[in-house]
Amino acid sequence: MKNTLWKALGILILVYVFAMTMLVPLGPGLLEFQDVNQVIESTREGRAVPEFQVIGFGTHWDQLPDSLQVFVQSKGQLAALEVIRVDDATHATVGLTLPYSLPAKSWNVLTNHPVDGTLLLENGLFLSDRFIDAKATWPAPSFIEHSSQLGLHFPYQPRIVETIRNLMLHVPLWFTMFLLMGIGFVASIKQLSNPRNQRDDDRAVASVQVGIWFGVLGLLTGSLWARFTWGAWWVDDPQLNGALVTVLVYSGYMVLRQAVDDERLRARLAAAYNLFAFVILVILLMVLPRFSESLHPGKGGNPGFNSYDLDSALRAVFYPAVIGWMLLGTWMYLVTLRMKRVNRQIELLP
Amino acid sequence: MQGLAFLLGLESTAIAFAALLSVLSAISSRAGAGFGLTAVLGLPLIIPIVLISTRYGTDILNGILWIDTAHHLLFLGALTGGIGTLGFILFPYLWRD
Repeated sequence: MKNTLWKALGILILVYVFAMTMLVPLGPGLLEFQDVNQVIESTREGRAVPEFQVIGFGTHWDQLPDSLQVFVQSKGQLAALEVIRVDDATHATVGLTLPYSLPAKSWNVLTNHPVDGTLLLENGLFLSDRFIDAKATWPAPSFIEHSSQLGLHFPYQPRIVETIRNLMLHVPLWFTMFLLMGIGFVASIKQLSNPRNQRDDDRAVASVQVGIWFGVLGLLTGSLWARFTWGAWWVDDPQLNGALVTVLVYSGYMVLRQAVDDERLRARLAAAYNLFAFVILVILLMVLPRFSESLHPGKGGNPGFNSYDLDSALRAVFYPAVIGWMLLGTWMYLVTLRMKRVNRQIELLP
Repeated sequence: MQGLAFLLGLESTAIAFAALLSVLSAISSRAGAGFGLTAVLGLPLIIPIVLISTRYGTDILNGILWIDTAHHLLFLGALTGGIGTLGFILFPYLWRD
């Protein structure tokens, strides 16, 4: 009873994770702040201003179109733009009511809407034809940050967009691989210190066998994600090369086991090689990427999914996903281990 | 200083190769499988050392100041230290009967 309970729990958690991953909608965001190359009459300022278009992703500007506010912000200076009209739920036309002297060229664009909350497009506006005066200031408009009135949703991330759901697969798969290889590492140390029987050798090989599959799945999901966000299936990056090398090193472990016939010798050699493989894994996947530039999140000064990126909706799915995958991985490991032991018993039969 | 940094990287790479290939040759000789096994096991383990040391070496030869590329040397040192220490500890276990 106790042994089946945690397995059922693991499956239940994974069912919850998959359902949430596929069903929770993505939150709103800003895609682009586009120059329309036309000049329109500003009713507020009574002069001609350039026309721009704000393009949103999953926004609801057609509800309460009058309460949409658009701001630009740079170096602590905030300016309100005039919203000329709201075209549809994701398109709005604004007039660029800014003075000729500006403190900066590059501006963040913000929209305020009671349904979507406050949205930010970093460096969405670049003005090269204005006079730059670092001291140019004007009275700040009233700005109240809205929080979103939408239900549970995943946060919008530029460039990642809908693929943020891959977070529930890619990251937990690698975590599970780490856990399994850790089990293999401990088993190999035990095998080396107590070489009399093959119990720990069975543990090591079972965990590595399952762990390689998790590593391959982690590579595949990562490759898919790279295709979407970076534009290529594979890029020459320390984190990616390290991951591939790790999987290859562990494949070498399986090759080594095939090459030795004597059981006790095989156990000892495989255990020694496994210690090497684990040290390489730790160095390549956890030490190296922190020392070098990498595209991969969380490495080389590149923000990962830290407290800033992981909002409550992501957390509610991501943490169960990690636990669920780890439980499934442990279960697969235990089944493989039992297969090894049964096979050993069968071989011993007369 | 620049030459010394290059020499350090060279030595570090050489020691890493020596330690790694000694242990792998020992494993394959104990396995009785000849040098084919050394090649198969060694290839993935050699790749990171080659990648890092070539990157470090080209950086130094291109005239980049050694302190600006020292993180490669640091990592090379970590790799060498890890492989060397582990090889030193594990070597007797390989030959025990």
